[in-house]
Amino acid sequence: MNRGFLENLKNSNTLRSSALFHLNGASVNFGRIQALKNINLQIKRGEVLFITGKSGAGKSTLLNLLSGDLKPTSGAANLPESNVFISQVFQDLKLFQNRTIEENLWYAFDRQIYKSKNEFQSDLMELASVLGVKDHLGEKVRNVNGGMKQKASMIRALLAKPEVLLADEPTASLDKESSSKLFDLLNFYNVRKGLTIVWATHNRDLIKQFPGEIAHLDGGKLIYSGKACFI
Amino acid sequence: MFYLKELLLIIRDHKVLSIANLALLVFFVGVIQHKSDIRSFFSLDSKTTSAPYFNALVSAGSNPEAIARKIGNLPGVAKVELRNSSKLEKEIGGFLKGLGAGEELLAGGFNSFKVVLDKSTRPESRQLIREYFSRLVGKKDVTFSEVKTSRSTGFKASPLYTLFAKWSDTYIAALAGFGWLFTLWLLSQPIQAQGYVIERFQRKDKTALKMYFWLWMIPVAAFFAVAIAIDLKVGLLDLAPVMALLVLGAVLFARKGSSPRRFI
Repeated sequence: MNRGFLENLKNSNTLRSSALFHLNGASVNFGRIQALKNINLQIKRGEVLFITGKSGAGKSTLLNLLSGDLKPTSGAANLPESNVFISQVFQDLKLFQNRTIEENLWYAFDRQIYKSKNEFQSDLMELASVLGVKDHLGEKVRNVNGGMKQKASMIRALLAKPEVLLADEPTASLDKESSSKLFDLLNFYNVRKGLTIVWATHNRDLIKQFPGEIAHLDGGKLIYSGKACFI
Repeated sequence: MFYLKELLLIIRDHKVLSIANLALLVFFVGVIQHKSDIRSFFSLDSKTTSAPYFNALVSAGSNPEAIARKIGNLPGVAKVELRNSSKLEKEIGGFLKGLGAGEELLAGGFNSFKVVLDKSTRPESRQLIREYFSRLVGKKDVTFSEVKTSRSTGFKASPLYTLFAKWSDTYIAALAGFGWLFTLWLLSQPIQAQGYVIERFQRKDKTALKMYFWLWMIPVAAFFAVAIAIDLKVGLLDLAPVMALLVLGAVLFARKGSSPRRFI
């Protein structure tokens, strides 16, 4: 009896420490519209979770709930402690249009993370080379195409060296080749650096490439949560 | 310095708004510092009645500017106007001709002054001012007119103006304050947006509030620097409304950075 209790306690502690996000019956309302309905979801450290669903299914709302930008109207949303840094790729990108791509990327320069500007610059150039942004660093954001903006937004998020990356449709404006490069890059960050990735997407091809988890939303309800291969 | 640098980037991108914000704050401080001047400028008393005054003719020979300055510094004297003597000489000359008197009476020339007194000066004070004037230029060399007392200017104030005139300084200060808050609210949007991005990609918090701190620290520090440089006495009690306004402005930035609806 005692051993069973201790075993349960140990398991629950292990679960608690491994689950970064824990949504328990979380609902979000915007006035009369219920954007999310009674969501129960756990996201573990190092996991890749795809949030899928049609437009208006509640994918972005769920990401905003996970980022802490939204509070649940009812239910509970247990988010990571403040020492777990969450970085984001926004659907509307949130880049400063009248500044250059490089100026926008420097917003990820944090002296708590980087020992020097040179170290940051070297990381910046490496990521810009991998994603083909290097030649456009000096261009103003408003003058580059949507794909370039999306890559810049992803680079900025990765340069922040987060523990968790929340990405809202980051490949929407990318061609297949660029998407593929981005997948490889994120796979590297996930496998080598243990980056937890939560990715809202329509892209089914992408889901096939990652052996991740999937949360499928329909009309604000979570209708499937589990391994992507079972969908 | 990080927050100051970020703020300067916003100021660079929103020059007109930033200048308007600064100008309104300076104007607000100016209104607070000159409350009584503003109230007297708009007061019904100054519009409906003219101030008492007297004229003085002084023989030429003494320095008219020096006399005007010395009389102007006396308590109870609002201003001293030095009148155009050649025009007056012509007028008086014509008048003397009409009387059949010779122009030799005007041979030495003279200077004419209009001494405008404060409305509140009492008759004894007015007499003292005239006596000081006589002693200054010499009794023989000056002729005074009677003191023309306050009279109606014919100005009729509307009830709205009456209401405005009573609290003119407060209304103007409130208008400047609201104007400043409005421009601050407009500026708060790019500041919040920038703060949000910084907090999303760097391990920082309350970024917008810290940038706001610099936004008013710059003009306030500049104001005190100028005040010290020109030896201006700053009434700390007078600055209380300014501080209250700045604290009120902080409310716009105090809430935790949420995703701005309108992004730059």
